[in-house]
Formats: sequence, C-alpha cells, structure tokens
Amino acid sequence: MTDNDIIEQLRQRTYSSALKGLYHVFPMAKKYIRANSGSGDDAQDIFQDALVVLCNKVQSADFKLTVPLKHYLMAIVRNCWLQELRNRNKFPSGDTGKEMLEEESTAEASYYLAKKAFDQLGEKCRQLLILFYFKKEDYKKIAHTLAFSDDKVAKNQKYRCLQKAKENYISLLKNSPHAKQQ
Amino acid sequence: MQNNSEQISRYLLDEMDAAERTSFEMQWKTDPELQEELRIQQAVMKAIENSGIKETFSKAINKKIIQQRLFKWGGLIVAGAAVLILFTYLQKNMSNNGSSEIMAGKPVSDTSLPFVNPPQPSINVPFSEYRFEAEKGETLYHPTGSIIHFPPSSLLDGEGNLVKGPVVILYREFADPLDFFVSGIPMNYDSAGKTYQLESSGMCEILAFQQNKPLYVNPDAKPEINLSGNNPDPLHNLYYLDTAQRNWTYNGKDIITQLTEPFRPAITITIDQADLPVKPIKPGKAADDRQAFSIEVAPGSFEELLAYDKLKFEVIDESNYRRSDADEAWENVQLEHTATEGIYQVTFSNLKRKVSYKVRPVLDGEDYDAALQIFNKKQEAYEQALKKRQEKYKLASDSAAKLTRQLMQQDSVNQTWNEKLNGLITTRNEKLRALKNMNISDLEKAIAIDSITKQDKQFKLSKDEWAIQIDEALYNRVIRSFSINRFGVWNCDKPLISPNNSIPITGKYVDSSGKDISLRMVAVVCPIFNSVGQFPGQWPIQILLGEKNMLWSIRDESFYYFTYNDFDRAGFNWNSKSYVFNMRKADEPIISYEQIKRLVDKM
Repeated sequence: MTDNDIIEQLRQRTYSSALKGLYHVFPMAKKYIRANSGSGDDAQDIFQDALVVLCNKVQSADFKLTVPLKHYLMAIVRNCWLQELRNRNKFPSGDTGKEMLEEESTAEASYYLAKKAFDQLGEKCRQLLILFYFKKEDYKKIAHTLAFSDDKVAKNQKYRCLQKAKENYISLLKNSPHAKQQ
Repeated sequence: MQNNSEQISRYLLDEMDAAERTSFEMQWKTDPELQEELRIQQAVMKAIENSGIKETFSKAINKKIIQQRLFKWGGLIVAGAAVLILFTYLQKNMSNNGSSEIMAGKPVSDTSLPFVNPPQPSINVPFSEYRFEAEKGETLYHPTGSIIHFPPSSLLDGEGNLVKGPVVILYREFADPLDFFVSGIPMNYDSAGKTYQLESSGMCEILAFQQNKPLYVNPDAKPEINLSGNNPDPLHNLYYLDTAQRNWTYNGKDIITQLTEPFRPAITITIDQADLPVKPIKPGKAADDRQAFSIEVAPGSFEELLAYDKLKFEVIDESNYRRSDADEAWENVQLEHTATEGIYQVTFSNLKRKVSYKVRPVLDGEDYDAALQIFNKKQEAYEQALKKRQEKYKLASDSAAKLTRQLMQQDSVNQTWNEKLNGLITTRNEKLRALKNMNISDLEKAIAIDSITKQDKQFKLSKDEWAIQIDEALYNRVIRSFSINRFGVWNCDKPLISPNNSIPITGKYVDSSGKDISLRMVAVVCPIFNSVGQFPGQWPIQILLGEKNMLWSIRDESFYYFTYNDFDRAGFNWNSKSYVFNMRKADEPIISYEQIKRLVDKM
C-alpha cells in the first residue's frame, strides 16, 4: 500500500483499511513514548490520537506530503506526546522544551483543547453526541440505545450535552496559552 | 440560543438547502455573536467526530494486536512442526507402549466421563430453528453472518430415501471459550498417541429432522456451510466430532475467503459541476396593473439574473402588499430563492417592521425584448453544455463499468466462486440489516429458538444486544466454506503445540471459607487462544506463565471462577507445582446460558 493509497483511504474514511498501512509505525511510536517516560497504554492512546490528527490533516485541501508518511505520522506522535506531557505538567521547562515542539504543534494543541472539552462530559453525554454526530443515528434509535423515554428527551439531552461541551470549550479556551491562536 | 445551536448544527452538517444556507451566511456576515458561536460549535463538533474516529481506530488496533499475538503463536507452531514430526517418528519407533500418553503441557481427557460433557446439562448454547421444504432446498442466513446452503433434495431419511416435505434444521455456533465450556464439547484432539488442545476459528453444530426423526446428508447433494468469522489463519483444518470414536476426525481444509472493504470494487463517477453554466431564468413581461419594484442584486449572489438590465421584481400575490411599503425607509433587503424555479422571495426590514413578498423577475417593453434575446442565447448555451455533460457522464460511466468488469476479472482467479459468495453476502447483509431494524418480538420470532431440544428457553437478548451481535456479524471479514457429509459438530481449528511457558499445577479448590469443593471439571481460559483447556478436577491443570489465565467451573448450579487478577496475585513461577485455588463464587445460582454469558462478559 503506497502513502497515497493510505491518504486516499483516510479521506474516504475507511479507517480500518488505512490502519493496515499505518500500523507498522506503532512499534516506533511505542519505543519513543516508552523512552520518554510513557507506558505501553500511553503509547496506544497517543498513537490513536496521532492517527486522528493525521485524518484531520489529510482532509484539508492544501495538505501536501513532502516526507514519507511514516515520518510524518511519527512527527505527529511526538507532538501529541509532548502535548500530553505538558497537560500532565511534566513537560520539560525552559528552552529545551520549546525546541522539542515541532512546527505543526498548533493543530495538536487545538485538537487536545476540543478533545478535553468533550472528555469532560459524562459518559452518556459523550455517547449521545457520538451517536448523533458521528454515527448519524436518529433520535428514536438513540433514545432506545441510551434508554431515554422517547426521541424528544434524546433531542433535549443532545442539546444540553452540546451546550455543556461548548461551555467547557469556552472555559478551557480562556485559560489556554493558545487562546489567541484559536 | 437553542435556535442558533440547531441552525449551526444543520449548517455544519450541510443539511440546509441553498436558500437557507445563503440566508444563514448573510446573517453570519453581519452577526459577530453568531460568528463566535459557529466557531465554537465547529470546534466541539470536530471533537465529537474525532472521538468517533479514535474509537474506530482503537477497535481496529486492538483487533490487530490480538491478530499479531495469534500470528506469533502460529509461527511457533510452524517452527514446532518439524520437531513434532521428528519426535512422533522417534516415539513410534522407540516406544513399545501404545497407550495414550499425556504430554506435559497438554490438556487431558478422562475416558470414564461422557465424551461431550457439559458442566451443567441444563445450560447450553441455544440452537436456532429453520424450516423449509426438503425437495426445494433453502439458503439459511444465521444472525452471526454465517450462510448455510441446502441444495434441493439434500436430505435422506433413515432408510436412505430422498426426503420430501417440511423439515426442521437446528443450527448453533460455538464462538468463544464460554461456548466451548458450557457445551462440554472436548477441545482436545488425539493424534498418534498425543493429545493436543484445539484452537477454533469457527465451530458449529447442525442437525436435521422430519417429524422429530433424524435425517441424513444425501452424498450427491451435500449441504454447504459458510462460517462467518475473523480468523483467516490458513493452518486451520476441518474436523468432525466423531462421538462414537471419541475423537475429532480430520476432513481436510476449508476454503477461506477474506472479505475486503469494499467487498466488490466500487467505482464512483464524479462529474465536475464547474463545466455547467448557471441555468438561465426566463424573465416575464411586466404587467401594467401589477406592483413591481427594483432592487440591487449583489454580484455573485443570483447569477441567473445578472445578465438582465433594468430588472424589476413583480409582486405575485398583492393581497398582503401595502402601497405605503413603497415609501417606507427599509434598512435591509434580502432576496432568496424559493422552491419554485423563477420565483423569489424578497424581505424588507427595518427596526419596526419586516415584510416579505413572493416575486418574479420582469422587464418593461424594449427591455423585455432585449432580455428575451439574452435568455434565448443563454438557454441555448446551457442546453448545449447540459448535453455535453450528459455525453461526458455516459462516457465516464461506460468506462467505469468497463473498468469495474476488468477489476472483477482481475480480482480473483476464482471468479465464479467470488460471484456466488458476493451474491450470498449481499443478501445476507440485507437480511442482517433488516433484522437489526425489527422490533424485539419480531426479531425473536425471526431467530426462533428451537422447538425440538427445547434448550435454554430463558435465553433472551435485549434489542441493543442483538444490534451489537448483528453489527459484529457485519464486521466479520472471513468466510470459511466447506461441504458436510453428515450432521453433527464441525470445527475449523488447529492443534496447538504446547507453548514452552506452559506448566502443570496440581490444584486444590476451596471456597471463601476455605472449605474443599470437589470440582468435576475445571476449565482454563487463556485469552490469546480461542480455546479452553478442560481438566478433570483431580488432575493437574496447565497454565501459561507470563500470560493471562482464568479458571471456570460449575457445580450444582454454582459458578466458581478464579480471575486473571487472582492469577497475578498468586504469582506462579517455574518452580510452582501445586496451589490452593480460593475460588470465587457467582452471587446467584446459574440457570441459563444468558446469565453465565453476561457474567463472563464482565470479567
């Protein structure tokens, strides 16, 4: 599978197929994260985050690959991990830390901010929003899946959950060093 | 706020029609609050989408990790095969003892016990029941995604006569260690005096009856089973469970078909919209007795109107028109398309009032004649472009069809087989999706639990649980196909060579008060293999060091278990020989398959 094939699959949203061509980067990612005070579980989580960031990047009309895709993905992995360390307040302080961040770190920072706003919601809210916006299920089906009494309740709950996520995001944005860049 | 939120959602999800979108975008341009809200909601909706994508990747990666582990063990088996052949040869030639030797690290069997030996006979994997006319044959679509094909006249009665009329087929699958455990089907395989544990990639039991009498396979028209699963390992063989000989009999290989995504090469045709000019609108001639007004149309907004000079808009329905409106000072004017071609809506508003009229574009006298000429020219150009586009589309679709045919031919050396399976899978997927959309009572009727063995009548899944099962069936990517020459249990599996980290442990099993519980059978589950080790309670069990192990046992409706964490805490090592297992006990008596399944799913 060539890099272009993988990019096309990501654009077509056939994620499982695309993963077949990207999975070989995982051992490298794991090695890097383990060598930088992370665990195996961290590696899996960060690798998934990096794949999501890659998906977002390739959807952009001006996306142009100038290096092999595996190197590009590894650069995202590194940025995601540095961002995670920063979130855990373990990021190396001073200039050394700044140097470690690569050029495209803003996308990862923005991704993490919105992700955090979403992750702060309760499990049911998260599921509800994923079912509605990602899986495109109708309210009736969602009501059944999440045990709401009817579709109207599901719709109201969806509205509340979305509002809550927006509030979380606004609040995080205000406290974020990237606020001006958003 | 709620209206905005809904409106923004619809905008971001591209659910607005052109008019609504234009109106929304116009409002957005002048409303900073809306701009901010759109930006925030866009970020949040992106986060939702990202979480969905991450969830998808997470599932795919976990699957990949499991496959890798299986592959790793597969590699060990290949490497071990040469050693095994040599060892078998040496043993045959050097040992005079023909009795079955239990190899260290292998599961064991006790010939004093029934061959198929469910730990609690009242709990078992339920059968599904299917009915059809024997002479016509039938294709059965099972909710696990498997497809069973009975050709016409494929059944014989006890005297060897072709069966006609209604017949009943009972069918069930054993998918995981729990199914192997409750069914009591031995997962051991004796070969050349050795006992091996079998790892399954798909196992089923199929039985046929007419008026409660068993039926047999017609060797001239054998039924065909297409087992749906996810394990493409080519090292697996096909075995039949011979209960008379108390062993699995080797039946060659199944045909493995890996379904790709998309299953059939799909070529979509995209025609560039840019080569088609905007469809012109034929202007009307202004009527003397109707109200009309001029407004300035912003460049780029209504391209179909821009060619006409001195264009006016004539009010179609004058019933809500007030003459004084013409004199009012309006701050905003908004022009929008309506659902009817050539009809527009104009909205005038100021701080006090807002009025809307349905209007049509018109021109006066000479202006109209000039406009008509422009229209005719534009219409001609439009029709030519449309024709060209249709020709281009036909050309593209013809070559796409040709390419699809070529791809289909290249796709496989066994085109006929793929065509056949394609058809079956397409029908199956339609049926599975229909099943998923049924309400629970219709669904339960469609997946009838058998009326012959009446096993596990309490087995009931919720609609959501069915939906998950059906989704899994749709997600399965491997079909293992084989014909059967008799009814009974069929298994696609491979004998496992004992891993070098396997050690025997002599166990004593006690309850929470330390009291000895004599367990008839103990099952060892290790998640890296789709199998279960079955050991008589008094015999040593085999566990894998460095891997997760779990124990299950049932005695008198009590389910006893020893979890992965319990094993971790026990701290087994190479020197471990015996151990007192302090078994946990399920809170309530186990009386159904569904109950034990839910319990084990949580472990």
